[in-house]
Amino acid sequence: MADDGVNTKVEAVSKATTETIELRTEDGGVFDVDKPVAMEFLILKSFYEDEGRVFDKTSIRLPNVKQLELSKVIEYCTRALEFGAKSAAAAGDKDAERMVRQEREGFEAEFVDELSNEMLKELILAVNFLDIKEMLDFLIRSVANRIRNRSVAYVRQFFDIENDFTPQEEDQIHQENAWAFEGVDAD
Amino acid sequence: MNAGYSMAGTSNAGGGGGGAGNSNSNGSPITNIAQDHIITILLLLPIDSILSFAMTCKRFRALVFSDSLWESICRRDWGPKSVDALKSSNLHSQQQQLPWMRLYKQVSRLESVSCINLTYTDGELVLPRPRASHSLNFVSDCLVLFGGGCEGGRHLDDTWVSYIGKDFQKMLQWQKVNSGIPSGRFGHTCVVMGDCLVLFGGINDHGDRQNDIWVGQVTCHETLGITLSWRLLDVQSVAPAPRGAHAACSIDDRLMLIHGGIGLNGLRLGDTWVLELSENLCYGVWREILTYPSPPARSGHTLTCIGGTRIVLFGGRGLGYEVLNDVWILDMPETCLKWVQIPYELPNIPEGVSLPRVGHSATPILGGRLLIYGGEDSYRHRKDDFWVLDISAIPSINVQPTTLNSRGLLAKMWKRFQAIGYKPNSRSFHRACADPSGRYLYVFGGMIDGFLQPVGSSGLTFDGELFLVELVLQL
Repeated sequence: MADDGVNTKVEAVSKATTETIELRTEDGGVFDVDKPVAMEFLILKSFYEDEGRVFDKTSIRLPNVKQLELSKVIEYCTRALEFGAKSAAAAGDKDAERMVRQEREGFEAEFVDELSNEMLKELILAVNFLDIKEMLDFLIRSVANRIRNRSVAYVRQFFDIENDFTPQEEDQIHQENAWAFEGVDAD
Repeated sequence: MNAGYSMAGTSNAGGGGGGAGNSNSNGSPITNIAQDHIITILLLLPIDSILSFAMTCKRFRALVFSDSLWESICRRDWGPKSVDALKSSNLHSQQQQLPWMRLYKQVSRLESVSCINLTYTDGELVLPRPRASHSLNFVSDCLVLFGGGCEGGRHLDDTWVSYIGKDFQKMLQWQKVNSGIPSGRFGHTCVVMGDCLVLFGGINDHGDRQNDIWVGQVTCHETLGITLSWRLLDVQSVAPAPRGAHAACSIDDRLMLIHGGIGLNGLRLGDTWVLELSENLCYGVWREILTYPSPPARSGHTLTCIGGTRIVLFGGRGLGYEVLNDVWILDMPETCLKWVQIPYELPNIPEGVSLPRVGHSATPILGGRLLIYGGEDSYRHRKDDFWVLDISAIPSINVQPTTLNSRGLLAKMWKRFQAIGYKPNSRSFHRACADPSGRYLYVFGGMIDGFLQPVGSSGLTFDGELFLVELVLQL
C-alpha cells in the first residue's frame, strides 16, 4: 500500500484475523483500524449501518482529524474494548472486578498525564467529531481535573480566552462571588 | 485501491448547542464545542471553580449565571429529593422558576434557624402525653409519633398522626390512631423508607430488649381520615442482638443501617448491621458489617444519611460511660464498606467544648448538612444549642486526595447556629425529623430540667412540647 504519511498497523484485538478499515487523516496519515475499534466511532458506525453500506476495505478520509490525534484515539479505544472484555469476564468476582478497575484507572491516569493542555483540547475536538461517547466523557473529566481549584488566569490561559471585562466589572463580579471563596487557599 | 469515502467535515460538529452566537472569536476552538459539554465540565467542579470560570469572560459569565445550571448544581450538592420538594412546594406560589443561584448562596451562608412553638394550648384537644426516647417521623405528608418513656419510667405504646401537607407552620391537630401494636417501648428507632416506616428494637418497662421489626404505612381515606397500620416484618436471617438506645438510618428506600445501643445485661454494643427489605416490604435480610476500625461501642448516638450515599455517626455515651464527640463516615455504595473516622480537635472550633453529647438529634437539612440539636453532656447538663455539621469537604475514601489541606477541610466542618424566635427548653432524648425539602424540622418531647426537684433518677421531667425549627430563606 503506497502512502506518504505514517502507516500504522494497529494490533488486532483478537488473535484471529479481524476485518480492518483504512482511515486517512487530513495531514496524510493512514491507519489500518480493526473493525470493532472503528465501530466505536459513531460517525463511522452510522455511516455503515444507517446507510446500509457493505463493510469493505475502502478508505475513509477524516477531514477534521490529524494523525497524532487519531493514533491516540485508536490507542484509547483499543484499550477500552480490552478492559470492557476483561470486566465482563470478571463479572461476579469482586476481587477480579476491582483489579480490572484499578488497571483501567492506572492506564487512564498515565494516558492523560502524557497529554499537554493543547493535545487534550485537540483530542476533545477530534473525539467530538468522531462521536465517541466514552472517550469524550473521559476527556471532559480530565479537563475538569485540570482546571479544578485553579485561578481565573489559569482557566483563561487554558481555554485561550481574552478578558473582556472592564476593571470595574471585574471588581464587581469578584465581590459578588467572594462568598464562595471563603476558606479557600489562593491558587 | 478505489477512491475512498470522505466524512463530512464541519467546524462546529457534535450537537451544536447554543444556537446563534455559539461560534465566538474569543477563545480557542474548544470553547465552541456544544454548550452541553461545557456544562458537564462545570458540574464536575466545586463552586469556587465554577465561579472562577464565570470570571474569565462575559460569555462564560452569562453561561454560568443561569438558574437552570444552578438547579443542576443544587441537585448535585443537596440531593434530588430536596430540590424536587422545593419545586413542588413552589408550584403553589405560582412563581416561574426558583432563583436557584440566589438560593444556593443563601443556603451556603445560613447562620441561624428560627423556632416557632406549635404546641396547641387549647385544653379541649387531646394531646400526646409528655415523653422521651420515642420516635418521630415525617412520612406521606404526616408527622407520626410512636411510643417512648414517660413518668415513672413507664413505656408507651400509642401511635399519633398529624397531617401536615404543605402548610408547615400551622398548629398541629394530633390524632391517636393506634394503641398496643407494636408493644410498648422506648429507645427504639424508626426510619422512613419511601412511604413506610420501619421500626426496630427498643426497651420496655420490664427492661426487656427487643429486636423485632415493624413496618408502618399511612393511608388517607376520604371518609375514615388518616390511619396507620403496623405489621411485623418477617426476618429471614440471623438478627442482631436485641437492644435499645441504638442508632439507625435509612439509605435509599430499601436499606436500613443500625449501630450499637444497649443490649442484654446493659452492655453497650458497637456492631454495625444492614437490613435489606424485599420489594414488597414483606421480609427482610440482615447482614453484619465487620470492618476495622469501626466506631467503638456506644448508646444514645445518631446515624444520619446524607444524599443517599454517606452515613454520618456522631456522639453518644461509650463503654466507660464517657460522653463522646467523634464523627465517623460510611460511604455507600462501595464494594468494600469501611468506617472512616474524621479527626478534629475541639480547641480548634469556636465554642467546640460543648460538642460532646448524648441523646441529641441529628437531622439532614437543606444543603446536604446535618442539624444537631440538644442532648446532654457528661455532667447531665442539657443543651439548647444548634450545630451544623458539614462533611461535603471531606473526600470519599475512593477519591484521590485533592490539594485541600486538612485545615481547609476541617475549617467549615462545624458551625454553631444562632436560634432566633421562640426559645425552647434545653432537652435531651427528644426526637426531631425534617420535611422532604429539609427546610422545616419538627421537634417533640424529650427530658428537660425539672424546676422543682434536682435531677435524679426519680426527678426526671418529661416534656410534651412540639416546636418547629425553620431555615429562613427568601425564595
